[in-house]
Amino acid sequence: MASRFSVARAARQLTSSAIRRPFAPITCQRWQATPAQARLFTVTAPALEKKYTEDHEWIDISADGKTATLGISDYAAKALGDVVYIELPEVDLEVGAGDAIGAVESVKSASDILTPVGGKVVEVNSALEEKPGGINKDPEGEGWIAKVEIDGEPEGTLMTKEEYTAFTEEA
Amino acid sequence: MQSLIHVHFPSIIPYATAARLQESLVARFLASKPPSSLASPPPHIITAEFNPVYTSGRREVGNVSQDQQNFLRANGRADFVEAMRGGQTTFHGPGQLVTYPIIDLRAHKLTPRSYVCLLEKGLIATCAKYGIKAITTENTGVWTSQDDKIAALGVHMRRNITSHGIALNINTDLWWFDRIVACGLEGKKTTTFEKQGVKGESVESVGNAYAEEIAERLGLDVVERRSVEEVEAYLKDG
Repeated sequence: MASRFSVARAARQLTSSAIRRPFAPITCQRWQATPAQARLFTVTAPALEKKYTEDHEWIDISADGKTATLGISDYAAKALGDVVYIELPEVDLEVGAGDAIGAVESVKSASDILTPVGGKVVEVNSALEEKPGGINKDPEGEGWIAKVEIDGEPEGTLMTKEEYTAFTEEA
Repeated sequence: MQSLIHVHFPSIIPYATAARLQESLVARFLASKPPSSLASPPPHIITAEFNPVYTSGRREVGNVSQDQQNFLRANGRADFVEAMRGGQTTFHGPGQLVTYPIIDLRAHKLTPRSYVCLLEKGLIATCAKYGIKAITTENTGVWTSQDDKIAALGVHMRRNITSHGIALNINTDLWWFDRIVACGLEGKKTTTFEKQGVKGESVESVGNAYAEEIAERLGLDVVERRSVEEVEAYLKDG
């Protein structure tokens, strides 16, 4: 449990010192951003495809658009090497897009994991606390990190698998 | 001409003083990430010597009990700080070179793993400059034998921006290490330049040597020395 409390603290520590986007009254903006549109047809939402950030996280939004599963990419897991410790967020933690939701540690380096979307953490992959190495085995599947109930739009660059592969190859 | 900006704190300082400069630099790097139009800062390296302080690593945050902290504080002779870096509890104090490179790994085409390796190679080369043969072992850090560690390592990354770094013992009072299991390794000892027979070297001169080694390994042409005040002014002006 201690580690869960610590992530909230970690996030606070980091966000206080790191650059924060100016605080915006999110609720009001959302009202404006979602004008009531009369829909003439009901369409099935297209299957949402897994997206990647420039910082090697992936985000998979559920078909109903309500929850996002977050993790680190295969590329990131390989680049990190053997993961010895994973810091998971606390369930119910409210996060903003760009906030840290945890960290992965390998060879004495701790890398923050950021969420590209804001919301509330609803589930964490506790199995990783016992077996951090699980993230090396299947980072984009069994090794997911957290699920977030989405509040607002994802921020920052999100890439498709193809775009992300090209991005990592140019690095 | 690409330079590595080297900032050296000229006197022994509290851990928090270097931490503040480090945080401001990291924040400045993060602020220049797209879609920002701010120019990316040049790579920086901070060198310093601290008042006695024990720092724990990220996975120990919240897990070092009050009793343990009291013990580490040694009746007020040392501080205790929870750090966000990788690695476990270690000691920093007078006679030890602490170095924090603040760089964007992506700009240098490095992965976290290759970066740690670069820091280690720089340490080995620095030791060699002073006639000390150092090696890497199965444990991270840099060693003069399988059991004697001369430099410890612990880094943090956020969006590929590095912070924290290395601690190299020049003439550190080893009493501070004897009290703890440094970096979680039982049965290992800590050594210093002095214990290896290299006496009279200052933290500053070894810091300069290490900055040169890191610059070379990052493919930078030159190390440019700036004062703490100059860097603070640069950060203030954006």
